[in-house]
Amino acid sequence: MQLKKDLVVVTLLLVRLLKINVEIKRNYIIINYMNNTNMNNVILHGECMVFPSELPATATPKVVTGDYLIVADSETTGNHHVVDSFQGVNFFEGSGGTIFMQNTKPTKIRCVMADRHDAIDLEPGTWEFGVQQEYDYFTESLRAVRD
Amino acid sequence: MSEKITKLTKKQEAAMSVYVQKWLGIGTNTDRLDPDRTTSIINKYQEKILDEKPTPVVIFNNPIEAWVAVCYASNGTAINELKDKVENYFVNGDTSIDTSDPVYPYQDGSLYSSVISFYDFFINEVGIEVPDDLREKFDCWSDTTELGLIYPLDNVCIVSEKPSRINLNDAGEVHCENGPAINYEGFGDFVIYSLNGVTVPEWLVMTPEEDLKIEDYHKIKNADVRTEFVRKFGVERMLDHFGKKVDTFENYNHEWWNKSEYELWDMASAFDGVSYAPHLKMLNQTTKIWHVEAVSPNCSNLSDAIKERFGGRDFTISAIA
Repeated sequence: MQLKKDLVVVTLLLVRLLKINVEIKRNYIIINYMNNTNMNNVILHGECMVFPSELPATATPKVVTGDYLIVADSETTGNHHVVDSFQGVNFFEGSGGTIFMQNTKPTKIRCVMADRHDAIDLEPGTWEFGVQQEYDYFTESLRAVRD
Repeated sequence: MSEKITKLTKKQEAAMSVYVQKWLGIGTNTDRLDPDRTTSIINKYQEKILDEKPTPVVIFNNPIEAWVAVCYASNGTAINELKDKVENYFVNGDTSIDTSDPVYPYQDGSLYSSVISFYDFFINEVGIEVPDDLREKFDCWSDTTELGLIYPLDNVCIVSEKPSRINLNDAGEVHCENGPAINYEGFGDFVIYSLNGVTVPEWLVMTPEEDLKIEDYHKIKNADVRTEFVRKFGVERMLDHFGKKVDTFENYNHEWWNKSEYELWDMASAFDGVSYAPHLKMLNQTTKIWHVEAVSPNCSNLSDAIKERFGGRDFTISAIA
């Protein structure tokens, strides 16, 4: 009888330890992300900007059918900026078509034509994508850089 | 069931360059089509892949001619009249058919070499198991890369010749500095001008660099084409002739501003009626090519310019590629 009780206690302890372990790992990822990603930092991949962000409550999941998502498209050369998509990498669309990503595993932003821009690692976290601006002196207005 | 692999062997990796060369050779081949061989490839493709009966095959000089032929064939023109009808369309004009809204061909011919190369490598080098009937279909599909664009219609198949000339630079990019990089024979003047893999307007290739004007630069809306303009015009010449340095990365202590060698230049002399036209000069960290892009007259220094590029956000750059 005592042995049975001990077994239950040990099992409960193991489950508790497992839970703590999972919690520690989850917190480690969050703390690691916060330490390594200052919320004012930006990664520039050509004209594409990638920066730590928060997922808006109104953002909706974006279905990715292939191995990657185009986060900044190239109208003429086809040299799109893409992020590799796999389990643990989830994309969302916010207002105005802004793309967000939540990843629990590292992924990469890269170009279809790899020689134009090297790939950059994106650590686990929440990221927002944008495009740098340029000024048009003929229309006297700012616009997204196009390639 | 075959075992999933997660890594190529050294031998398989080494074989990749052989396949790259093989398929670059097929993709850029400019030999004229042999009618008998073309008909044989098309008829097998119709039978094995499309599950259709073989039809006559008619070859045209380029994709424009091929599309006009498709329009005539779809309009009920007899197969033996197609060649004359297409010639008449270009020589005398014919408004009786509508050739607007061209449709991309059903099969890409040599332009699909990059796709077929992938399967060729994995079937033959990595040993992906393919059943005999599928292998037969793959071989038929693979053979179509000997041809140009392919339009299989109900009673005839229209095939375009491949380009008569494809010029590449040392990096294997479509490139020609004194004429079209891609030419087709025949009617319709089908030519493509390209510099370092970027499709550019004819004037950028054909205008000698000393005759290029800064006004031309401002007509270009595409960043890659502008980069090719700057590369041909010369960034130093561009800024020395038309610019005045306003600010430099040397006045700051930012790692990535230093690496990108950010500078702000006033290019007002290149515009009519503009007293101040700041432009950001920066170095691409991967290609080491200079880029010059306009920022608004509100930017009096690098900090303003970079903030504006970021949509008004105060970002610190942590990486650039």
